[in-house]
Amino acid sequence: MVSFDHLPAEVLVRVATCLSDAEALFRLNGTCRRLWLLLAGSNALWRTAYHQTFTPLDDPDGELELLRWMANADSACRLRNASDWRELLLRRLRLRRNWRRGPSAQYTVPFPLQLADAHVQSFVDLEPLASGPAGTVLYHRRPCRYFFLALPKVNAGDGSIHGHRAMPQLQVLPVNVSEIAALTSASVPREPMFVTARVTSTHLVLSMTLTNVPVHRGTSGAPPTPFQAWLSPRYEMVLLAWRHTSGLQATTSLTFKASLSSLEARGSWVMARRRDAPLGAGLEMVQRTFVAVHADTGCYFTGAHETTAIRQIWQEDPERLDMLVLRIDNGASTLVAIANNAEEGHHRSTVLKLAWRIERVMRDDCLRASACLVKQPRIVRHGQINITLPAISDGSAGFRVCTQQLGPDRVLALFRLDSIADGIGHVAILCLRTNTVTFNCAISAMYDPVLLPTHNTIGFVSVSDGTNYVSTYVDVEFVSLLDGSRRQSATRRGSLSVKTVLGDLQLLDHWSEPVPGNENEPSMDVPLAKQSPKYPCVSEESSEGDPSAWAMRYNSGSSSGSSDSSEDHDAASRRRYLSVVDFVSGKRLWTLFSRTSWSQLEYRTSPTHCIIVDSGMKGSCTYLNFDV
Amino acid sequence: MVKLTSSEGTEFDVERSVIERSLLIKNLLDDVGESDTCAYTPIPLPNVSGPILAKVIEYCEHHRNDPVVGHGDADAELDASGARVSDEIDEWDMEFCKVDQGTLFEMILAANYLDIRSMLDLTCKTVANMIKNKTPEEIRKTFNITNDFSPEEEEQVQRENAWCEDR
Repeated sequence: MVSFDHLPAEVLVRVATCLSDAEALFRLNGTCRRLWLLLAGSNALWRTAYHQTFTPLDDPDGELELLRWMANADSACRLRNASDWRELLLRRLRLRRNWRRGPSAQYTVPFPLQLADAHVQSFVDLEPLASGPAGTVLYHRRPCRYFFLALPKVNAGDGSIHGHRAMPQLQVLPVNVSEIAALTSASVPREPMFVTARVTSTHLVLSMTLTNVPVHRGTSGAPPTPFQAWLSPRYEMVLLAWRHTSGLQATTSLTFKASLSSLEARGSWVMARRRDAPLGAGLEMVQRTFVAVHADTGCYFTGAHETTAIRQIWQEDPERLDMLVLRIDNGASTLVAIANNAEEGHHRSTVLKLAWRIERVMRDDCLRASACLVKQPRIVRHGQINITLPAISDGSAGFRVCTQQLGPDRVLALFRLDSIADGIGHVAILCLRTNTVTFNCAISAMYDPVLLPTHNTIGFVSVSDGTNYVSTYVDVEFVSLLDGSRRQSATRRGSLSVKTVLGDLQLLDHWSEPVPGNENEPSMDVPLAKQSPKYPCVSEESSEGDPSAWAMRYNSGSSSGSSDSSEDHDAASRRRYLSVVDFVSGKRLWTLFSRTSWSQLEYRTSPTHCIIVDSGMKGSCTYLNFDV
Repeated sequence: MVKLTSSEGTEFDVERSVIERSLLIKNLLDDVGESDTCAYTPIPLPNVSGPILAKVIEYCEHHRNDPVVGHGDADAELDASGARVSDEIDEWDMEFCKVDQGTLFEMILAANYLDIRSMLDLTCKTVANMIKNKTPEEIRKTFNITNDFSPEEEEQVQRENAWCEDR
């Protein structure tokens, strides 16, 4: 009787070839020594098995080259020959198994949920293609995309982030096959974004983690570089926010039939731009919106407006308010403020949404702005202001929007409309603390408002007669957001360009036009400041060796002697003032001015002191100490 | 008609068009030419027993009208070794292969010897189906294979195939 052992070698190989299941082939290969040696030596058998198991890529030659390159990059396990299909098949099978089923062997790719925030993208047909010591190549068939998961080199001292154990983190890079070799040989940067991968029961998931999102509040590092990953709208994207405080539980999972891109993080917020497009639709049908997720609480906000750009992102006072404010251009402009109600500990998951909708109604020359503060599910504050524009016949008005929120229910919006025709603008303030407090005044179109985030105060430069900023004086004026009261401060003309908060004080950097007959303004201001016992101000003598003392060094313009330069020529026609103003009293405490220097000023401040450094050609340093 | 003689000397008369599914016999008959001698001179098949030769003839008669699958057949879905890739086995073939293991292996050897590609594919596929979804130990038990690995080799094999067993 003929037994299995008596079958000739070619028949056994043929039987093995009929095993379309690669697992069964490896099992048969491991039954006895004869089959082990016989089958392992048949390269055609393994090549057939490889191509039965894995559909060839669009570029078979490139695929083989890539597989060989990735395999041979592992010095511990090189291919035995140029086309060791058995080893290639075994590697890829292991990789796929580990990819789909989680921890198994050395090719496991972990999922670092210790990090706070994650952006997850799901790929239906994504599969690992090859893996080496430098990373793993993933392949997505339709649309054809390659991803390279690179394990960054982590130093021994980088094992934790803010006290949390850092898991291995990967970086994902959409690549071409031809680029992979170059990528793997290059050092992979750790910042700003890390990517890891995990597997669900049905499909592969890539999760992209923003490392710059702080694990603890108030410890945010440098802003992350937006991650660009446009993907086909045919595939679902999932934006996940993960709670890291109690057992790494997922708090929010949003699924979009849309493309997400440009991930940005501000504090505990993660924001992604979103692109929705029906299948087969042209570019004109693409809708661009956004989504923001609060990682700690799972609060999320999906933009309901068509947006062409998100111009500015603020996160004001993250320790207390934890509010994300976006400015979005959508024809007019829309401000969206999203707040996590952090002050109500028992309602941490409650989301506060503040949506500003600004409409320009050109028919009646009226700018209408409305705002509502929503504490889900009801509106708790609502206000609307109408700003009547001066006659703008050509519709050439420029429009800018600033916003500032001073508390969870005290929200200020400052709108500004500039008429290019006559240089006149309007400022409007809407405060929800008193339900509706509006302030509407005409200002010069050329001046920027100065927002002071303390004392419920806003400062701005207004034009007293409202006609021509060149010939008129301007007021540095403070307006209380609580009662709308106004306090004027220094009167200058020019542009107020820099503001620096020093506790109760405000440092104003002010370029102004020369005021005839008022050449000694600085000397007039210094005594004013010196009169205040609370704020001893200026000593024009250097006090080296005693940095805590009040000291100042600067070069005055009159001594520069460099009037031939264009810079000096410009400076000769203007003056630059540095003023310190008391918020409470509205008084200007101290002013310095210069005609030609202070070309490159920097301010380094703390609540108690300020260092003003002019790194220009002359060089100067002013040290202000308010902690007396 | 062609006369075939099995290893035991049993003679089988079979139509030439039927037995020409065997490339071995077809080439033999083509070499001999169109003469009456082949009808009266038995073709000895010393590697094929009578019962197996009967099965071979049964297979060839059933598939007499099938297109012959040969080398270089572009339409045939063949892999690198020439085996059909498809797992599909029709009902008659499945019943035909419902034999004991020894008979099946002898049919494989006969198909291989007579160079009947389609029958060889069928029988090999049947054996392959007996291997699928079995562990190495179950395969050994099914086919009475002796595990002759040394302990070190056994450990290496198990390590290499660990991913298969991780269900």
